Amino acid sequence: MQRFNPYICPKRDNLLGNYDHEDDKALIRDCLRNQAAAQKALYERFSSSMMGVCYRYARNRADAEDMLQEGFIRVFTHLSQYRSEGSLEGWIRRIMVTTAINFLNRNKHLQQQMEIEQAGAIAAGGQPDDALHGRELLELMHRLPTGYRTVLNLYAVEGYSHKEIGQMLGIAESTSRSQYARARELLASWRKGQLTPRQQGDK
Amino acid sequence: MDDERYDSELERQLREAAEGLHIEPSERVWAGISAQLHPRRRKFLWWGAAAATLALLLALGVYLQRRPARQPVAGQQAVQEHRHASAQGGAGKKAAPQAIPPATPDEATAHAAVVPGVAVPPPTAEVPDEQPAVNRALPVLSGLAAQTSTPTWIGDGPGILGPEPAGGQSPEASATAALPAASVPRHRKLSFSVFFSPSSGYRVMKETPLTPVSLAPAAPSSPSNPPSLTAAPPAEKAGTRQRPDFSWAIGIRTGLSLGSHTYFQTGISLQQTAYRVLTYGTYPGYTLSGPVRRPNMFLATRAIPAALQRGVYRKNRYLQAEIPVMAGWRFGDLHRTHLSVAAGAGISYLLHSDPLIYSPKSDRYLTDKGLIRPVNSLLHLETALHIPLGSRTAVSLGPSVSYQLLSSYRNFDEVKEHPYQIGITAGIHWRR
Repeated sequence: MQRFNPYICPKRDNLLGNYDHEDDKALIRDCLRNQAAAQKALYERFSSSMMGVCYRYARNRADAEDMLQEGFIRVFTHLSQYRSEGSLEGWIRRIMVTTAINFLNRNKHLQQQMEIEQAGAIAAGGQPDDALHGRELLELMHRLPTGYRTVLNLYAVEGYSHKEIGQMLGIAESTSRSQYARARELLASWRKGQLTPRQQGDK
Repeated sequence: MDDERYDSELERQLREAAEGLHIEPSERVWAGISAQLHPRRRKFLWWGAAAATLALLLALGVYLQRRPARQPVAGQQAVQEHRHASAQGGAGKKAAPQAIPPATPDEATAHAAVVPGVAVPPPTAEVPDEQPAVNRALPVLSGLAAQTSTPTWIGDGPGILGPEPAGGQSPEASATAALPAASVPRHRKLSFSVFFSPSSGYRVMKETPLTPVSLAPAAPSSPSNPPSLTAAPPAEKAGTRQRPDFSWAIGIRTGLSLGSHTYFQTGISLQQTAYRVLTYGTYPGYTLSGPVRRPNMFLATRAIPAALQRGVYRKNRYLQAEIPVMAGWRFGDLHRTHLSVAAGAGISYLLHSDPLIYSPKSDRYLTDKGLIRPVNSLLHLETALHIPLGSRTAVSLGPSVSYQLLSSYRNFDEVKEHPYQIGITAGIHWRR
């Protein structure tokens, strides 16, 4: 059954205004001049991908949009600190991740940890009946408790080390390792549980 | 070994999926960013428009207050007297005074324009005879007094054109009595009214199709409350239905007559607009999670799947204070039962609205992110049947319509909401 996912949208090609992808310097220059058209163009270029980043950390779409709004305001107010050493998208992504972590800390979502036994009950809930693909894997990841999901995102997707994650979240490095292990274990168990019937059917 | 390969495969898939994850944010995100990046411009637009409207209304009020009422020109009155006397012959000639030469060139021009062919003596600085100037003007003023000796209601906000002269008064006494009234716009009298307007209505909506959303659990779920990623309203049901609810308005107004039939009113009113909305699905940007604070609250966590399927009625109420400015036209004699029609607009300020959205930041339902527009504008159209109770009081009853000019939501392009109300307005009026 094809399930509707409103969070995935086609990329937009016609909303970049007068700036093309290679013209970052002109775009940044105009943004620093506080030109609304340039700011809108920058937002249009990166909003959908950055919304994806925020959504991976957020509990729901509204939180993700709050993070996105806060993150882009930071981007525009700190754009003068961008040194053109790395890609603009990478710089914005780091700001979004930091904003998301701050948002979760501020709303105490990270403190709401969850026992593995309780998390196990989640797997008994809505299980996709099709083979798992990347999108479904993200949905499963989104069902993880906030702490597990955050560490999994930071380590597996963003590539931070456990030491850096510990500093970012204000937790011990060992805690980050254990959280990641539990998240991976939980995710793997859900995935194995869903794949088993299919594998048996194939045999 | 197999587990390690499996884990690395899991992480690779996660990374690939994360890289390809593109989500379209709603319009409110950019609206919020833009509002914070350019706050002055937005504030200027709204507050500038409000200040300009207020200044315009004040200027209109001052202009109308200072503008003199239409009075017969002294020269015209004199010519009328002259013609009357000419028509009556010799007896009339004795009683009627001679036409008084106008004192100024302007009056002479007016005089000539009114009675073509009548010889108008050129204006002279000197008085042709020894009669004092006041005495010369007396016939004119007595004519004015005679014309206004019958009390005449002018305008709906009403006043009387001066006191009726006592019987047997001499022309001089009548002129003296009428003198202050002639120099002051006498029918510009104030009226006061208290009104109550129960009403009911719907709203004019323009909205994008509601989005069936996948629901992420707000908190760790339990086996009895499993998360559902497929809970969405049936496609044919997505949208809103409306039911009317009781609305009301109460206020006081003061009126000023502008002419024999026209008037304007202003004052202050308190009004509550209410309606019920049956919602299938949810608007983009609404937070769906959170504890149940009210039994019928919109899309509480545990009720989400069922609510999305069967729809949820929620009550929307907006309590606003408004300063209206109305212009009206009266049909008929104010002494008797008559009809009036008035139209106008007002600036309203939102005092309270029903909580609409759950905010995880404050852990309560509220109108999040300044979603509801605080300053708005209302258009009014009223028709009333006025029944006088005495010389100064009257009651009125009639249908009224109001329409909200700007959408209730700001920075929220997905939904435009313009409530309108149709009701009955009852009022008690007192004329000074």
